[in-house]
Amino acid sequence: MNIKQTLTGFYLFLAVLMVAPITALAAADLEVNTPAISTLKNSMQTRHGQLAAHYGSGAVGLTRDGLIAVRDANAVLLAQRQGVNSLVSAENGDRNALYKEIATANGHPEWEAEVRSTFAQRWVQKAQGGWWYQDASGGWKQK
Amino acid sequence: MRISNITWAGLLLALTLQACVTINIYFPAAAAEKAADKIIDEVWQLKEGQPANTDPAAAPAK
Amino acid sequence: MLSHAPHRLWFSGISDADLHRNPLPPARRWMMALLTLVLSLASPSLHAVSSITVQIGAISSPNFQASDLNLELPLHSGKAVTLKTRLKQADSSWAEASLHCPALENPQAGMWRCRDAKLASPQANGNVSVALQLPVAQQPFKADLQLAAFSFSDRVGLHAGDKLAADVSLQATHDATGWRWQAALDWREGELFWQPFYFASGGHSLHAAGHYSAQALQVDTAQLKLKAVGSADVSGIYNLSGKRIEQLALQTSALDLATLYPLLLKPLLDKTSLNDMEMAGTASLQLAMQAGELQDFRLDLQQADIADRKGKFALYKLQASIPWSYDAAQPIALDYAGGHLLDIPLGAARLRAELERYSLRTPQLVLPILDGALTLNEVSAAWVNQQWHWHLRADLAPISMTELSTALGWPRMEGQVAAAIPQVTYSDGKLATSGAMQFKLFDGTVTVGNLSMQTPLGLTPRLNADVQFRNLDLGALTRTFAFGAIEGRMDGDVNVLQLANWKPVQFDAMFKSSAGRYPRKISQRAVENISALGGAGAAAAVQRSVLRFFKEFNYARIGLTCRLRNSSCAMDGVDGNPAHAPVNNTASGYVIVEGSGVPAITVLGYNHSVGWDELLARLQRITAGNSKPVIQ
Repeated sequence: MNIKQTLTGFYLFLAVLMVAPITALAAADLEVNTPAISTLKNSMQTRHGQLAAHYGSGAVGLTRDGLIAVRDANAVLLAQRQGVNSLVSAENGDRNALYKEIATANGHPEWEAEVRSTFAQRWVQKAQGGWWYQDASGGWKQK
Repeated sequence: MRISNITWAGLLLALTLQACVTINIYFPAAAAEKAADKIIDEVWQLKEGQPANTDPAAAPAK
Repeated sequence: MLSHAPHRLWFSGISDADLHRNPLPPARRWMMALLTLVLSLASPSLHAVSSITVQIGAISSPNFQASDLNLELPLHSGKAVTLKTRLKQADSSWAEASLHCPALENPQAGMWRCRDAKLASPQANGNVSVALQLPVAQQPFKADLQLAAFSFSDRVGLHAGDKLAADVSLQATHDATGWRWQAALDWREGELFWQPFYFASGGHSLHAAGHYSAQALQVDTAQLKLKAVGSADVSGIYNLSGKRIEQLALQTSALDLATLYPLLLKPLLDKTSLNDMEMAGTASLQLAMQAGELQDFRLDLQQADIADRKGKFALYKLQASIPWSYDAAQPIALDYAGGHLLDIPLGAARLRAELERYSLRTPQLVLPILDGALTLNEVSAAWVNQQWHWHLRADLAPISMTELSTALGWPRMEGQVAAAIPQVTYSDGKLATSGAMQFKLFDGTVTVGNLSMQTPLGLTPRLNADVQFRNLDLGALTRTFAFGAIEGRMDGDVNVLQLANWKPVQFDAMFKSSAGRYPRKISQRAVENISALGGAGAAAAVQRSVLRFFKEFNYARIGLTCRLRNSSCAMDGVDGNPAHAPVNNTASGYVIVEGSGVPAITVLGYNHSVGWDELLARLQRITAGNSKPVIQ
């Protein structure tokens, strides 16, 4: 009798332990306020001042995997194309790190791909009219 | 006898719950979308829900 | 008479529709059109004709379409030739393209010449002069091309040139197995962007000679001269069927790093921590490949200065000799006269190691730092899967904290730092240590253990450690950080510390008075400051009470704990334990300062949870030299 109660209690305890993560997951917001994320955000915000014109001219477009790419650099002076390239590669470095950080900061590194695809859609959704983005098949479209 | 039954039942329960947990680790899509919007608004310096404005002079002060 | 009447050949509509019925690969379609053209020209019945007009309705391939192609070709020397068509590339729109040669000359058999032909198309524009000697009657094949005011660009604009002026020549003689060739490129002026490289102006040249056959392209000699940088001699064999380099030998002159870096190195190092440097001095490289594999190389640096523009690191008067061979171990040497890492100055060093294929080994590297030195023992590193993995033993000979704190721009501290770390490993972007680093500070000790770092030089460096403080002299500490005088000694434990981008994101911290007998006094200002850390009210209460007549108080214990999670600090007092989340009982206070004797004062905290940023802001206000805390 006594053993039975102890065991029942033990399994109940086990059950509670295992259910606990579910409850934790139900909590609403994603953690996006870590120092690493703020640093990346600031770095991207500063860079946006230089990138915005290139989105507008169509030189740079938003890709379907949540990054950016040189789409048509002909709008940019030859001497500045290397700079556009560096901007794009630095921005992509930050974006990749951001998606990874968000997944890690929330304790689920395996979410990185889903964070990325969520961002990919939201970047395009929030892009200004006239900017270029890649559709699902990888073709360039103008918003 | 009874003890062993309970042991099995308990083990089964534990396993079931374990399985549940594994399956139920879902991606919080709505929360992620909200988080993404917040970050994009900051990076592109948008007012909430507004599309980007490339003209820095017209960008809303945050 | 047929003469003088334009003869029309029709290639009507080699279009996609036809090709569905009779599918041919794009290259074949082109060849078919060309072949038909050439055949018609060779036809004897055309001898009496003055000019030919060729019209082609449409040519198409998956990435390229041309329509309304019209070629007017005179059959006598000295007449104009015009080719006009409309072009469309992939998803771009249709554009006009034309090539006009004012006078096509045929001064001798097999030689064709045209001066100042004008090319106009969306992809390329400019003046071209051509002289072509076809290999007839024992003559070698010769082509001379002069480009002037020439611009070109691919569709995305990642390979483009503007206002180019260049001479290109190619000469080839047929032999038993193929062609013996000689080529020269003299790029006189104009800018070029060839992703990721940008050349702002000309002055560069390439001269090469070799042999070409269906199996291999052989380069016997090639000399590349880059203006203001230096030159390189290359020879080699490229296997055309296997598509690999069979042999390659490269030898550069002493290259000027100041010009080489922005031109070639910076674009290649764009994604590394060497992407924003300033360099001076010279470098030379010698390299050999065999059967597609690197066989050996030798890199020498002479009097090189390399400095990060953001000030992260620099090395001056760098002399390096780095030989490498696939077959044998080679000794490498690297000396520098000085430099700095972040704000820490590095002294002159002589580093020696052995490089064996993809691993590096050395018994000892000594890096002088300030008045001490970091000694790396039994260093072993390996290059596996495009990444360095290494491990070593590190000893830090004592460095004076006075010098270090000055160098780092911190408040001046007494003491010294020394460390003995039995094992440091770096793998997959993660630096881990076993053993501890010990700082002798404020007459006590600070021990940093379980230190690990992720991507220390990357975008988002992360650091984990456990830190122990023992027996710190509070007098010296509070004077250094301008926090109101406290006499006594303090122990602290900051466990599971995690820094992201060098800022704390997690820790379990506990500071309390050390055990033992020593004078324990706390000034009224320190009491106010501690109270201000809690946020509101308490300090004002101290001021208003009779206690304000006393300058200092005796205390029995001081203690504060903080468990930092999610940017929020869960606080507790002398009896707290940060390893467990405190019971969220906001009604009850916790003791921060427990008074003793007369006059006694007890400081209670009521705030169980304070935002980390808010806490930092308060600390900053207190230690900013402001004698009075800001009390809201």
